[in-house]
Amino acid sequence: MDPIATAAAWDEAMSRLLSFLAAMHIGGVEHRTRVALAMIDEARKQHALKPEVAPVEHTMHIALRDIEQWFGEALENVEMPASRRVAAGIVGLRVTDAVNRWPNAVLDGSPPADLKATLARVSFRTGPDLAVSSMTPRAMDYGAMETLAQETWHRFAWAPIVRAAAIWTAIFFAALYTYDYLYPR
Amino acid sequence: MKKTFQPEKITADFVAFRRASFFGAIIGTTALGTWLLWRTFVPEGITWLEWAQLILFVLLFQQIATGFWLAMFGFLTAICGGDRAQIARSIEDTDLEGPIPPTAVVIPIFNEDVVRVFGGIEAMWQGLRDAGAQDGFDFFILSDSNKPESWLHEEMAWLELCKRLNAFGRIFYRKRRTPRNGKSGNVADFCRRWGARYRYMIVLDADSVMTGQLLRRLVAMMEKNPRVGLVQTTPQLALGRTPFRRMFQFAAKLYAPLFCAGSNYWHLFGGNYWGHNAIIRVRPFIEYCDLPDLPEPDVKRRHIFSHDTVEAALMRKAGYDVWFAYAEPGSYEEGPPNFSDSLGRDRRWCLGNLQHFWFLFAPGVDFANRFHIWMGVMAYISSVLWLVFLVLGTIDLAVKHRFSLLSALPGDPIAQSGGAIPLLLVATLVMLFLPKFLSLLVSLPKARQFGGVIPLVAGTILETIISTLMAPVMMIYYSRFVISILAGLQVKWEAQNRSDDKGLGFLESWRIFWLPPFIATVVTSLMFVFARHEILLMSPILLGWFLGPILAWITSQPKLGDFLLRTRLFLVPEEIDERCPEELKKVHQIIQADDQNWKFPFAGVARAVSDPLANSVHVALLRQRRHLVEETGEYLESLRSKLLEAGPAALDTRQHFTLLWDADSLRWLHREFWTRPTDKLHPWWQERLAEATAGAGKASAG
Repeated sequence: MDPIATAAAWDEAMSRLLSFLAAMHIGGVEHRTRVALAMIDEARKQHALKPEVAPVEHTMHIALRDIEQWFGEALENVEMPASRRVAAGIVGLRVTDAVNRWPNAVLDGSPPADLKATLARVSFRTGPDLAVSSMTPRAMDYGAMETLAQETWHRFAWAPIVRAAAIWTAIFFAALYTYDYLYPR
Repeated sequence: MKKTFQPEKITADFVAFRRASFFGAIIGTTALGTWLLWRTFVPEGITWLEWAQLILFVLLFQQIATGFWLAMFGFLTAICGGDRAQIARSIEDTDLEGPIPPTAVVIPIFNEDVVRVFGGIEAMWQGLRDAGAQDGFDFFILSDSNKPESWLHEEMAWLELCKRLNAFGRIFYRKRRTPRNGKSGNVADFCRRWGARYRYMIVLDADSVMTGQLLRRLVAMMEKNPRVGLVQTTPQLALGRTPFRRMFQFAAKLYAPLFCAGSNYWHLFGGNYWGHNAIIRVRPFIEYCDLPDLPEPDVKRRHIFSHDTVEAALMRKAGYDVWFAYAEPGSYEEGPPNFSDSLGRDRRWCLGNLQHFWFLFAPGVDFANRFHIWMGVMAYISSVLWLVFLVLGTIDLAVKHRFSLLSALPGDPIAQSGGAIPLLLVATLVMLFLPKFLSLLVSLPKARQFGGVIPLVAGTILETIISTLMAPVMMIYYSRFVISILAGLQVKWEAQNRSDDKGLGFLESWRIFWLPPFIATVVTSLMFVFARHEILLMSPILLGWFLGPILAWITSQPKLGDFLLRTRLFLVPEEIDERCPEELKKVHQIIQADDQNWKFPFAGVARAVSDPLANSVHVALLRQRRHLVEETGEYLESLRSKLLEAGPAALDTRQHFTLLWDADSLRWLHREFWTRPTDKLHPWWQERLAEATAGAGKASAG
């Protein structure tokens, strides 16, 4: 493989990894760089075994695997599906400001016990415990208007109404003009 | 020692006296006005055209009389030191001590300005803390937003807000998967899930702000009066920038006190509910106030759009009182920024109010509620009636004029009426403008709060001129709304444009308001040919129609609003720093800091996929899918591949939502976005990746 292309591919992998770790807010620059370098080292080893896979893929798969493992361990005492632990963990770090309290802990060895306890206490819910009530509309009697509407509209069509209205309007005006003609003021 | 008011001791005589005096005045005034009009017709004998005018006049004049007497009784109570029968006077300072019963502050939202909504909540939370009343209140943001970016933005804003205020477990956010029955359905959904945990709920609009002090006082009013089911406050308009908003908030501040006091005078415990800025007793609300279906034949139209008035009627029907804490300060909302948005809101309200017609004759509905419903229906129907009245009146006058010329008689109908027409005209003008004058009179002692006597008087005159010119334009559009609704056209609940940083363009204004000048041109031409002498009489209306687009354009310009503020015109007390509550100041500060990160196309899905925090927050809030049928799995798989490979524009909003509701898909997309080599991503996603890298670079540099 072209050495320049390889160097560019590893640059891309490093850049992507650092961007990802920064976006996760897992610690300061020094901590993120240290974590990233360790991951890149492992990715290089894997790339040597599977050169057909791009460095960025190796690197990011390792990063995501490590994150999954780390948060799995951090939230092992919390009852939740394994698939949700990463999400809950990232939110937990943000909510508890854990990164400021344990600046070098995330992805660096096993999570400290007090950090685990802090994350386990995070309450991240859309509402308090449900207290279900039955809220159903009561039957409403709309009175005469409803009766009238039901009787009218159950077999309703606009055309006859418009025709009838036109006929009656014509009759009305004809009557008025006849009256005016017969009994002029 | 001042005696507190005890609502349960109101006697039937007291109520009867108030209602008899109020409605007696309306009936008497309407009868007098009708008699005067009748007199103008009598000399020549009443024609069918005149009968039609008389019938319309009764309906229209009673509306003017109602407004007039509301203000008059409000004025009378104001000069007598305020109404003693006010729910707010039922509590003392000692009632504000002690623990607060569980109270939920419920805020249904729908594609709103997220920064503004969460800014309001933060301000209220801090207001409660300052009032020492934070403990009893939980906040619920109930989202029905149907734009992905609104949804994701709301989630992130909620997370940051809770973190900042340390309010996890006290401020909740819920997004409904199926937004059934709009706002009322959203509140009902809250009641079904969590209502039993709370004794009271305070329902707010997305743009509502209430001071901590007022929230505390409302709870105290409910605690003191177990028979009260609902207390409505008067939300004052605030935070306006455009001339339109500033003018309306000035007008509301100036005129509303008299009208609201007059309203409380007659209805007492039979008040109305305006849908927000009100406290509700949750148990009877759950038990009695779920909205019934309407008996209309078309299934699509069976749901009640405008729930509030009906809920108040149902609460009264169940035997609970509904009061109006009209004089309590600290309740705010924002108005529409321009004439166009105001009419958009009216279009929705019009549909809701017309639906209330069904309840007008329903057995068991309290008299006061029937009158509220009647006023609501008339607020829009009257425009059509006015239009018909004007057309008939003009034709009638033109016909009379021609006859008088042909018969060579002294044909001036005004002279023939024996002075009835001028008297009626003067009486109508007095009834329309005296309430404004009295409001001004009542406000003069506190003119300093409105910028001084000269700005107060000048503002009142200017507002009167502008609102008089706008009224005929509103009449046309209200008539159009009524007719289109009666013809069966749907009106959807759409988010308002609450931002007033950008005014209407001149051409845009003409595009929206072309109809009134067009009608004015046609009517003026016709009148020039057939009824030239009546043009002068119609001139205020014609002028309003001609100027409609220009008025809409001018009043929407934020810079003009800023200029008016500097000249202290339309100034309201809340615009003076020392009179502005802390809560409003806080909201004002927050809305200055607009978040641009969510303003690009497909920002929601971009953040959900690319931002690890946004992705995690979103996934953590989604319900875990129990099982997935094979077809659904394949469909989701095809959608997510399409999203990454063809970009978000390849999917429609429904498909975006399908993916956003699926936690597994989002996890997959997030993983693929970060692991795929750049050249295997769609250019749109490559841009997102570049942004993420640039953002990380900045963070590192910082």
